[in-house]
Amino acid sequence: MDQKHGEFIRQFAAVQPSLYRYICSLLPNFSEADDILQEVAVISWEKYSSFDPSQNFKSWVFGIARNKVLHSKRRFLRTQNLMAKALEEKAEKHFVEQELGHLEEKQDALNTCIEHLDQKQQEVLLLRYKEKMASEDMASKLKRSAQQIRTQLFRLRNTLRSCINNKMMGDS
Amino acid sequence: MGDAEQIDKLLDLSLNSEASEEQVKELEDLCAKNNDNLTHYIESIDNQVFLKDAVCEGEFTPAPQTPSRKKATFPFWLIGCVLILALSASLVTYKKRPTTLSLSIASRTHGLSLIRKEKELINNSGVTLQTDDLLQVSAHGELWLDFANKGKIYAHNSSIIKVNQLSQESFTLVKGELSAQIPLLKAQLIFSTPELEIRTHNAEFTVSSSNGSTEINVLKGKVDATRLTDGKQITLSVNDSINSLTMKVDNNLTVGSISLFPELENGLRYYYHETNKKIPGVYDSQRLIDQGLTNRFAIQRGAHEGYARHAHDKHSHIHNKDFHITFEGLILIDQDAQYTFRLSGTADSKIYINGKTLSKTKSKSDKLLTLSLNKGYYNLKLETIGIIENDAPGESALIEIQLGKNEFREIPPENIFFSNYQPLPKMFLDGNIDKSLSAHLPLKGNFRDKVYKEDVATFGDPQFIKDERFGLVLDLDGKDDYLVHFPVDKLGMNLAYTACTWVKLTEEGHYDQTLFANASSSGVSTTLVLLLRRLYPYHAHLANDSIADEQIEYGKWAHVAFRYHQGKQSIFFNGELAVSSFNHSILSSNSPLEIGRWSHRRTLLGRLRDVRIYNAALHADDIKSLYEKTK
Repeated sequence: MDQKHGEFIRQFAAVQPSLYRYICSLLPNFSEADDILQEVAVISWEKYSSFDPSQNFKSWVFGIARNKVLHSKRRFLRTQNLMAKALEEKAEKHFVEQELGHLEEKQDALNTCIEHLDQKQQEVLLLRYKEKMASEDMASKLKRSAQQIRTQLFRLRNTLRSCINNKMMGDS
Repeated sequence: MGDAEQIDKLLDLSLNSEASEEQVKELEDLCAKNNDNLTHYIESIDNQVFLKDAVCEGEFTPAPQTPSRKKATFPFWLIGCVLILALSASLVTYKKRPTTLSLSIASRTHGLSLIRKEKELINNSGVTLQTDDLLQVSAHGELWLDFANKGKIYAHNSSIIKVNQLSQESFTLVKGELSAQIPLLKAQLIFSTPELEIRTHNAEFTVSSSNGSTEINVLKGKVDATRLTDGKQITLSVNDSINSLTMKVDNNLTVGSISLFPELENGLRYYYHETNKKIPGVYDSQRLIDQGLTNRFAIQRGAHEGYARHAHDKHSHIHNKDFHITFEGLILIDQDAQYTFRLSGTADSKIYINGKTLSKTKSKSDKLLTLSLNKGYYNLKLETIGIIENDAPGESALIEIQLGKNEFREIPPENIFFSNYQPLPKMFLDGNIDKSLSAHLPLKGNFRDKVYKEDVATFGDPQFIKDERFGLVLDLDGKDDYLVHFPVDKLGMNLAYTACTWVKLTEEGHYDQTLFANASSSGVSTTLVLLLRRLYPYHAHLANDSIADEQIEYGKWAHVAFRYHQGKQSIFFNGELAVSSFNHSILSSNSPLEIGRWSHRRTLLGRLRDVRIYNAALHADDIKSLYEKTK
């Protein structure tokens, strides 16, 4: 692999977590966001030779992502131009300023918090996020209602959010 | 229910493709309501992705139940789920990946077999790997394994790789060689060979395993190697090499001396094999007669084509038996679309593309194959049968491509690639290339050589005339006009060289129009012959020749370059590679270089300008740059 290719991969790897979140905020669907991220990777590699190193790489890639999502029919707030613009600006500010080191720290805290959940709680998370099971299917498997599943997921997210905040602030 | 809770729940539905249109609209209205809601929406996105990453990539398993409280449950399977985020899909993938894919093969040639546990043989389709899969790469094949943002592996040259445990990303190199690039700090891949276990992250290295020993070369990062027989462990860093037999670290490797991955260059490979069955696709004999590079998926056999060379110490001759021809390369598809491939010509032939085949017999009309292809690279292979050379037009096979409803056309050479395992170093036209310039005759009105700063000898009465494109150029009469330079060994042509010139044939003359030759020689390997044979650029050290498939046109200038390097002869036409072939003998001569004549009959009837001899093999990019700079 040549140097330029390696350089691109290093830069892209560093911004990719925030980029993915940004894309999700403009297009709140994991599956479609995955596709967009892949396309952005390809486009930004193809255009890399024209990238001015004095620019901010993250902002540049975010711009490509924004343009890509702009043409998607499933774009969030598609019919509300002003709000869409506000969302773009807010999301870009939030995720461009997000640092990889901070993300990793938060990820580590989350991993620890998940380990403290009981088995049933972990199972719900795994079915939802790893096996990508719909709530109706989860309900059928776990013999509960879909509404109960969704409520449980909401509570789990809240629990984990609090746990992360505590860990990040140094509490046991 | 407060707005925050509602946003959270609706977002969860939307992210997991469960939200109805009304629910999405409700979410949009909530976000538009006020700034706090919008902020909460963004933070929720953040948290959702965190959770998804942690669950998918984490190694946690559900905590064990306490027996007094819970009933026994089934063991929970962690299914391997690597999010494919394709950092650089353009080189290694040739179709979009579904998000549930864990690891995929992006092999680039048909020389790959995947053997599943049920002994099912799967040939080079875009498959997902499973535990216990065995990947066999043939001598001409290559394999790319893409781990998305976790790394990349490349293997070729009869390698065999086994997938030990997909979820733990553990592989065995049973035999052969592989190169690996594992860019991320937190991703670890485990490789084994019969001799060593290798654990690595954030590293670039090569591994080769054969005859009971394993060798590792580290180009970047750190690699931990453990010998399986005695558990001896060593950590290797940049520039370190080790052999499993000694387990002693050598630190003599120079980064840059080993290329991690091959380069993609324009062109495609061809192979000639002996055959008795004369059926395209049937390799009844494994005996390779010849191999090389060319630039078109087209075969036109006739006076110059269809003959094969044997060993370098024999004269080139017309092959007296039919032989099997294979053309193989990567084609670059520029956009997602429907493409139709047309196979035409007069020969029995067969093509392979994206797991599909198309056959044609000589007596039947053109054949078509329509495929939906995504942007990226695809293997394309053409097989046909070569027949003995003759002066008649001969038989042909041609692949053309149609995008949508547009016209059929040949696949442009700039969209055809092959993997070059040993690329030549690049020099650039900032002066470096001129360091290897051993002769330069601009021929703009005088016979001065710019390198030696003296005139070359002339014979006959060569004149300078005004050319409408280039101004003053040298005109040779095809009778007794020619130039004589220094001996070829003094010009550095007894090792690697590149000889190039601009040439224009003004009218029909002898079928051999000589560009460069050496005087008074007629032995194998001692005679330099660089000419246009029946308008095709031709390269020989007398025997064992090669000839391009491009023809020069009367009345039109063309740039022709002949390159020799370690047994490989390459001809470039207007800056582009026309043909390369291997196993050619080196030139061994101290006779003077003649420009425009090989023996008294084969003199040039035409015009020359900017004659250059380099005592090095120029990279294809340099030859292209030279053409662009001087045209």
